[in-house]
Amino acid sequence: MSPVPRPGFDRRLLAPGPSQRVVLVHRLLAAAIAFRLLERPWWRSAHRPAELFDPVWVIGWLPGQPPLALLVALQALGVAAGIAAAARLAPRLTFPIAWACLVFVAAVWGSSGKVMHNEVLLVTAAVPLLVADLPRRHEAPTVSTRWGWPPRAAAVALGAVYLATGVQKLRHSGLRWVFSDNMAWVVRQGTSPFGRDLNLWLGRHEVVLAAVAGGALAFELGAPLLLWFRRTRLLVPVISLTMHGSIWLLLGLNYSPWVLTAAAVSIPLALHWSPPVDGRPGARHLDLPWRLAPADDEPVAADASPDLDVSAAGDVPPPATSRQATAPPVT
Amino acid sequence: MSGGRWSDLRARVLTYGLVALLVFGVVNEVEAWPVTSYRLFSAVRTDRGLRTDLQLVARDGSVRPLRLDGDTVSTTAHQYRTLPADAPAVQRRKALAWLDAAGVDPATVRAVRLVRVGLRLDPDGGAPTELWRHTLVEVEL
Repeated sequence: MSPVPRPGFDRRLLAPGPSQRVVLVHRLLAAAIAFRLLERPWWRSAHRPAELFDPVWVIGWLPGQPPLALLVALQALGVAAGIAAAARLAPRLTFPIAWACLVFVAAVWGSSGKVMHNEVLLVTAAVPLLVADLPRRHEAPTVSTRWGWPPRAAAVALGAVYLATGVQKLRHSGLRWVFSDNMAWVVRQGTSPFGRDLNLWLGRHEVVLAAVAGGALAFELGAPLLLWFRRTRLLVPVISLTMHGSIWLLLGLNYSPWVLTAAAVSIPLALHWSPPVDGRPGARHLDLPWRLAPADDEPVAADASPDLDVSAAGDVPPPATSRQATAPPVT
Repeated sequence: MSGGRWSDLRARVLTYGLVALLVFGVVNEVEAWPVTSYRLFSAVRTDRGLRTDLQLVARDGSVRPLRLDGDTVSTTAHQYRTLPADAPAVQRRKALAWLDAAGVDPATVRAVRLVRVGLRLDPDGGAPTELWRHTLVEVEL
């Protein structure tokens, strides 16, 4: 009896992937968490009067505002755990510790009554990596379904979050969000870290700003599509940096975790992974959007999934019929 | 190396579960951090604006706005909108907390007044024109 065919999305999610890629995504997200924990003075939450502590859902069980010492301790613990996970020291233990510390301090920070989105993308995209299997430190690179799904699940979260932000703009404002002076007023009402003159000058260029709004909305709605194709994945962190960088420049809002998450997830997924050569496994090349034709040395993978990374350089033939593959051990 | 059925099940539960949670948050406008509705700049801005001010009514009758500074203190201004519905004891406690955060001696203040102001904004960065204002609540101290 032939097996029941699975939908394309499910087949791609569960396709084998190289162990190096899950390790790289894991390390980059750990580094992003450590950076964010280090970047913000989370302990300042303790300066908020206790009567104005309005806990968000995830810390709704707390009896009151956490003390300064606890916030400092968790920030330090989270940074240490994030650095350890990025350095691959007990990563299956240290990564969840770093993630939990970030969730806690960010939740306390955001318990003022205003919905804070700065950390939600990083927190959400890192969830699949919390339970992902990881190869042992000196294990030879392999290709397996165990290594394939976690980076793709993180990419699904990344694409879904950007899509959600775009859908909400259309839902609540429609195309007026683009085709009006909306963006001009957003810019005029903001204050750049370099002074309001920049906002007022740019606010006079309504057509340019409408085009910017159109580009931002197109990116948010099209992010899942950009992530679907390997050749366009590299555009995601580039556009994310441009968009969130300009938000910081004009409004002073720090969305660095969004840029770091986009990079940590998209760049490893844009890479082709070669089998070990002279004991040095690594990426062969990035798939750039303008490189339209596949290279001659890029054989089509066994089940023809565009995201399947069992393709190998000419010196080590890829497995022809199986979803499983094991690269030769590092010598 | 195959991941096995357990690995596949874990992948599906986590990925589809995460997507379902995101969709649930967006469709139902849930704000249960870190589940959120992702309304980032989703409303259209125009030359009309609304502002909610907390004003201090001093013992001598003079009125001045309360300024909240600092990362986690200024954002508590988002609690202004729920203040009118709070119980009187809670209103008083919060009002005193805002005075404390702003470094104002409560002995000098007779009441705290929450005011909603309608504005027309100036595209050239000048002061906004006040169109209307009304008091939402006044908390006696």
